[in-house]
Amino acid sequence: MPKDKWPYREKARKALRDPVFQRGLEGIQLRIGKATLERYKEVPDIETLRVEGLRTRMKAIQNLEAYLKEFAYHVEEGGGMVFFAKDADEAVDFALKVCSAHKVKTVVKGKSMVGEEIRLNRALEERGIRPIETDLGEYIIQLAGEGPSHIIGPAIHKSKEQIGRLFSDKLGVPYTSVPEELTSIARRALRERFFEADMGITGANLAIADSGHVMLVSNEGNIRFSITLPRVHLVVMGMERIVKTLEEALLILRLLSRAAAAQRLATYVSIVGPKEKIERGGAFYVIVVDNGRSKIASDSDFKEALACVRCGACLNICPVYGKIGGYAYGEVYSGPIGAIINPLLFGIDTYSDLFFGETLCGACKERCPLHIDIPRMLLELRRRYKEGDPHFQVAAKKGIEYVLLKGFEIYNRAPFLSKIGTRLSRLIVEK
Amino acid sequence: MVEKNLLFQTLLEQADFLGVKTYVVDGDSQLNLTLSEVIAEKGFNDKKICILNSEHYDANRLRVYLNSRNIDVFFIDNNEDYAKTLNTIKEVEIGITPADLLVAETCTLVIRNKRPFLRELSLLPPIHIAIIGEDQIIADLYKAVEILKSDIMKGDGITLITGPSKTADIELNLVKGVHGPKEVILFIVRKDFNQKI
Repeated sequence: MPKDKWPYREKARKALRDPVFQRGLEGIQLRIGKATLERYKEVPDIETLRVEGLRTRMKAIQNLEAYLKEFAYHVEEGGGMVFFAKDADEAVDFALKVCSAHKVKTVVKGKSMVGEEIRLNRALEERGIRPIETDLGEYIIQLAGEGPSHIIGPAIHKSKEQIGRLFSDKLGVPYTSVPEELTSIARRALRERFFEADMGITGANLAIADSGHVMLVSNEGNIRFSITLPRVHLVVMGMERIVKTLEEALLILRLLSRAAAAQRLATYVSIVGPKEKIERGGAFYVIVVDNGRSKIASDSDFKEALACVRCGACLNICPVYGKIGGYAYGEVYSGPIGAIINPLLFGIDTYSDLFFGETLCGACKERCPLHIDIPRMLLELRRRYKEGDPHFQVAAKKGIEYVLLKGFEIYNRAPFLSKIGTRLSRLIVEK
Repeated sequence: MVEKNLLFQTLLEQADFLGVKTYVVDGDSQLNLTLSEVIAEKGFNDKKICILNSEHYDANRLRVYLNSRNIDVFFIDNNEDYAKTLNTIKEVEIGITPADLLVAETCTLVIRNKRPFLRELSLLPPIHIAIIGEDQIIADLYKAVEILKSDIMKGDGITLITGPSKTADIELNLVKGVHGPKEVILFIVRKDFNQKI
């Protein structure tokens, strides 16, 4: 059953008309976007590192099955358990089984994109388990009942005044719009939850195949709390989030820190396996989620999309994301990389506006710490959409739509035509 | 010697960038003196202070010294009951801890997770004071991994700490101390004056 088309234009328009959202987007692009570039320039051999980073990630995508097997072997040798989930339902189902086995009532969560992807919170709530987001941005949007609008800045669409009113409504504290005060309100509220929680759920920035560890990165310290205090640690990770060795993980970590928040190194990095939990009588589980990823990995044109380290750098430079924000992309992944991942994971026909909406200007590829060729994949998605692809259940387009798409394709591939088009549009806009 | 100075310079620059106040002291007695001065100067006297045992400094002597200066400090031994001790740490306002290594390039403290209460005491209190021996300073992360690799391959976990806890989630304003410490203070104890390290 084909799903309806995602209302891209409507969502984009909504963001365009929201002045607070526009200010947030402008801020993140001007500040984090620019600072990232400065951090790259600081490293003399940065280009070598970026090439090496992509090579490392692609080697992992090439050897996914072997690496995951090795990772699982080491986790289980250490007393943990790894579950391979082929889709969101299987992943959620296993997570619920873990909860009931350990009589879990309250869960503290570190930010996890794949957790959002499989709608884990909703499933936990339906079972009467309280999932508490602990990243400040995620906590804010959870209180507001909203989704993340940016991979690393989930609440950039909110003003400090809106957050102040939200805290005052939901937490019963006196109104303030001072960021330091709002932060310390959240610190106090969440501190208690960390002590109460029976289980911590985190994603994984990377898993390390040859040692059975996961690497978790944060600036706030919420992930350290989530994995240190509760008895049980459950990791939910996309199956592509793996490298072979600790040294490879460090290389990616260095690139990730600079790209995500213009830091030499993120504040906290935890490299943990089952050992500490098991020794203290607790438990350690990992859910490895496929949910459409192995299909991407087996497609030679698109497997490069799986190399992404979710730093958000392409969002911080993209002229389209910078205006329409994260919600227009429909699923949890947004920006240029989301315009590839969402259609591939959740339907090319449903999310076709995403890859037609991007400009192919190439800024994303330029800014990506791994130089992932996003424009190439956007074009390829347009071609598959037009010509059809049984592998991704896309029917070829016929009649007038085909003719229009063909025209668009010629236009895109002929530089002189695009130039004329850009000039014409400038004339129109400037009038 | 030149190399060592370069390492120090990189470290101090990076510490400054991160807002990590760093004191270089000669031997145990200067450590005791400077630490007590810092605590008094900052008006931390009335705060609940807790110190963790270490092979890198004499925690007991340090405690006695601080006590003599009217600074109340309590001490956690490695083999105390976890739940009970955690409850104590919950109330602590300054945690004084060792660390396994200090990476100069990024001013990163490296700790082994198997050290009892080190993860907790470096995370929960609003102020974290780390005491490091000069010999524990290394150039970069790769060196850290090289040193700790055999333990990691046996399953041990490690934590890297680079500066105070921070967030920019509210309108991109940098706020320190969202979950972890607001302030990280570093004491580097120079070796030549201290036989213990």
